[in-house]
Amino acid sequence: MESWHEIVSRHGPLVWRTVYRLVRHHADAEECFQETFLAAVAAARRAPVQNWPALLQRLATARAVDRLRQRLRHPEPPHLTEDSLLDRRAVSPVQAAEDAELADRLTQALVYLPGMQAEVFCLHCLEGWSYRDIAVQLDLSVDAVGVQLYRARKQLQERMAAALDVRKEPS
Amino acid sequence: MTEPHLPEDPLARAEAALRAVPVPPGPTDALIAQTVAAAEAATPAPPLVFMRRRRTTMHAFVQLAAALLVMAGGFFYFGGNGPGSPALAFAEIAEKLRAAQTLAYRMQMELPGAAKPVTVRFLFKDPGHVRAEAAPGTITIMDQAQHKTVILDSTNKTALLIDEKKAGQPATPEDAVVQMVERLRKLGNTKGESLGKKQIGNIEAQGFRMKDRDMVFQVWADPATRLPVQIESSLRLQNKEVTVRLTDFELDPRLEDTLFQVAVPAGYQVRKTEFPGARPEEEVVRLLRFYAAGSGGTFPARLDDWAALDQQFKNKKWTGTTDPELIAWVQTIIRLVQFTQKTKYGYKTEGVKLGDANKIVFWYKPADAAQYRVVYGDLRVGDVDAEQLPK
Repeated sequence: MESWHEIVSRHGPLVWRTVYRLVRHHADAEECFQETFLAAVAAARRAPVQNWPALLQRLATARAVDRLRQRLRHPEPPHLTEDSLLDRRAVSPVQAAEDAELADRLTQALVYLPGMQAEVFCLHCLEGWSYRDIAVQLDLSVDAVGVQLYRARKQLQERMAAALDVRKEPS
Repeated sequence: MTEPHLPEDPLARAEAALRAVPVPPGPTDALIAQTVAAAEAATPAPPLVFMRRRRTTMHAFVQLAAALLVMAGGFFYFGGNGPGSPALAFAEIAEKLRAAQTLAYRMQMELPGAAKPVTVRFLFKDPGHVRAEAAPGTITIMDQAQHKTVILDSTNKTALLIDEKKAGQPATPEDAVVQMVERLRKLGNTKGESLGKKQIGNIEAQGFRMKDRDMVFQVWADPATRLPVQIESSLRLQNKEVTVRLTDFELDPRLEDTLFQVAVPAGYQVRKTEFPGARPEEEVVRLLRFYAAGSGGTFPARLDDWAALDQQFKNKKWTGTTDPELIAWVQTIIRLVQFTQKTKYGYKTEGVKLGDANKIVFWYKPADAAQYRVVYGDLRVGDVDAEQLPK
């Protein structure tokens, strides 16, 4: 096996991007980063790792969703996530505000999903994994991945619709 | 009325927004260095020399024994028996525990004779899956439904598979690990007495005290989250008061199913063992025979003198924490700890030596039995009437 220095150095940026995108908070991202590699130590102890990037990205997603759940259990006063303070000159301020709110709503809704659904959703919709790759990593059938994703989307759509208070004209 | 300006598919836009979140450069060199150090520290090093290995193994024995003792439900009796009128916050804590599908906490216990406190991380997942991680590198995974356990020794790369069904010793409700979780969840049924507030880390925790049978528990909870922060109790072990502390509670953490697989990792040498069902007197005979063999024929002064027994173990050489004989002894000790804590028994060895056929050294009355079951100095087992017992 490669040394931990090699593994962390080589795959660190991938893990960092994965966790930061979900938690959008520097300190939380750093903690998730470390937890991901500690979980990888445990995984490597159980069985030889065939695909480090896949394992690490899956673990990173799970840790980040866990962190979002912890935030729900230990709510802090509302604050702007750090990315909302980053350079948004590429888009209009209105669009940037809408995007930031939508991203917030999605991450808030994610914590209510069962763990497997949240993981499948993030890996497919945010990280661009194929059904087959997810199936291999999570030890599911390809069909089961599709079912998990369908359920996740359905619940997320309902929660986001409720959160955005979509009101329709009376007919 | 006008339609608000909203996207047709908020989820699709949210996904795109989240994908487009700007990510600051990272990880920093400092974070990489810290992570590498943590990963290396968490990776068990191979044994270097025999002495080093032996020390590790002995320490692991204490850790393993503690883990199994707690897993066997020998220490904690959280369940309440009568109707209670607990404080509201306390009931809320119990409700949260009841609702949790997964649970994690850390147990710390200062065992007499151990150089350092024993720390074991416990993970629970419904239904009946338990994982105990005891440093250094000993992991015990139990599947209550299947009555199967695997103990992994990552130092020696060995795994011990225990099939309780095959051994003809299915877990009883009293022994079941799940009972411990259930008892934790039934805290709300136990009468609680307010202990006021105490600073634990950054939290000004609210305390409750309750007594169940002969044990006293202190539960400290975060008033903001209504989650337990620390649960403390104590027990008599080796004639000393031992504090057991549960901390780092996580309710409903994400715990992957793979953590609870009762399976042997690739590259591990597999060992198997069966534990014959043993009655208390059989365990006592086993313990006394072993002790007398190393002491010149004398018996320990007390049946629960685990320190004296530990002295005898110093000459034993185990082949790692999955050594079947080691596990068998841990099982014996667990059963005897449970027996001595729950059952009224007699034990008198003053002036008795191995081979004294007419002197009774141990006695108790089995449930529904008319006579007392006894063990003599020559380690025979018999049944006698009450008037024949030692005074």
